[in-house]
Amino acid sequence: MNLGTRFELAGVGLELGGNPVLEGLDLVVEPGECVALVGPSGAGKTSLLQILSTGHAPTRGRVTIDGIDPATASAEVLRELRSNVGSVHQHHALVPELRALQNVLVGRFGRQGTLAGLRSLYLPRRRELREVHAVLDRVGIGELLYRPTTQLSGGERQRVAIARALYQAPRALLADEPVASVDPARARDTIALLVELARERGMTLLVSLHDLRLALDHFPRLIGLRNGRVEFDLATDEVGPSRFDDLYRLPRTAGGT
Amino acid sequence: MSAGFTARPLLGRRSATVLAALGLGVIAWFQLGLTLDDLLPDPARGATARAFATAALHPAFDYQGDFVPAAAPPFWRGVAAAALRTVVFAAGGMFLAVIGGLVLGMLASASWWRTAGAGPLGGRLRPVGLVAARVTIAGLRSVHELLWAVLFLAALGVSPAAGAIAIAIPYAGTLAKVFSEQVDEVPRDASRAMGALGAGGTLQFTCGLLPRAARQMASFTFYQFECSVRAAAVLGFFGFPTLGQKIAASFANGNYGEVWSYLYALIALVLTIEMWSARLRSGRSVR
Repeated sequence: MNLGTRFELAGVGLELGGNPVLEGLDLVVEPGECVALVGPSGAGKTSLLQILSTGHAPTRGRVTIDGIDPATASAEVLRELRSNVGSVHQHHALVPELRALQNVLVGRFGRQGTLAGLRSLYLPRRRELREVHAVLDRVGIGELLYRPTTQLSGGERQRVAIARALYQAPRALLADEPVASVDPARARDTIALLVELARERGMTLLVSLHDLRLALDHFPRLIGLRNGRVEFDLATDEVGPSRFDDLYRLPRTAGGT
Repeated sequence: MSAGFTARPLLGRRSATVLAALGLGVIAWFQLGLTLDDLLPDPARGATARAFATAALHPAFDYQGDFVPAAAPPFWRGVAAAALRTVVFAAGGMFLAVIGGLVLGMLASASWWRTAGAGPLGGRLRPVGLVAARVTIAGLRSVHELLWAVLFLAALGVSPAAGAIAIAIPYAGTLAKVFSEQVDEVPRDASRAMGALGAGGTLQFTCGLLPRAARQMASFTFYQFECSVRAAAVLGFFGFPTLGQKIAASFANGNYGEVWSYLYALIALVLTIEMWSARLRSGRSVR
């Protein structure tokens, strides 16, 4: 069993290209928590997840991941930190020219050197094949092990992306709009699967979502972001409908109908 | 929305560049004093031209000259041997060119320096390394293979190495330039995702970027191989034992039928490579 990651943000602000994207974020996500990030487009959900996966360093304030500040960590510590945080990307970020199993094997690159990584990708051992098959099976597509990624449907590719994150065996899983481009039934399946996997393996889970229904149904804690600030941070049963109306209300100058 | 707008021209600098290029073409035409009359041969040469053209329909199947040495191999074997040597020269040159093209292409690509070449040392070398690689590539490409051949002939004489290296140098430059551009144009999402899960730079480059450019790189390499076969044939005019040497000799003796036999052999070679690379591009023979 993995033990989940603890994320802590203190006064975090982020500027990208001179524009403020996030301001004054104070958040703690405890190990093993499942949290939905909600908010309109441009609220800063993606940027927040980027900070948690060490893709962006905050311009102000401090972020710690299991007590370690990635901004001051050594290259080795940073690499170890990254190998412990898995991500599922909206557009999957797979290599289409590789087979399903090879895209899953990539998951362990963070713990492998160059030669070991290349060896596992092109000459996988039986033990590795068994493990990859097991995670693909877990996400429901075990039979597609050797399928070229170009021949997979969008839903299947998403499952390969989730399998890659599982094979990575991370302590936290971050998913940025994982269901923004799939139909509602599949969206529900995917979110249910992510929450189930996080519970099963004790991973901390953060998912950014547009769909409020999905967020309410599957997550015990919701963080509402708007204009780069935390609008609310509540247990799901404390969130009333007016909260969402406020969160998604269009600025008056934009002149909605 | 109600806010006003300012009209902006849709035809800008790019259209001007295209027009200027067309204009240059017209000016060059007049500068050279080209007229369509030049395309008609004068009567004295007309006979030669006609003889050469009609020979296209009657390629030789045997030696046309009067004095064929008794020890000479059958004609078709001479054609086959010259064709084979042409391919061997081209392949030898391309072998070196692909190695050089891969190494220089990596050093000239921004994405290599961003991934595999990153790190404290790479960060310091990058500004110099990237420019040095691109200048080297430009230098290799700016001299044509036939000029290199003349230089190497002077230095090494008619040796197989001279021919292969003359082909290898400019082709390494062209391959490096195109490889680096192809790798830099590939989508970066997968390689970035690898970095986010802790993969080292070399893995990000070799597994996240290279596979995505591989098919295009292979396709361009085949095209260059085709070009190098033609170049190897032309090297024959400088004395290297390829199809060009045979063509020059037959042409000088007025044996136009033989010339066409050699030309058809060259066309067959190029078509064969084209068919092979088309199969590769369609993905049927991949894996």
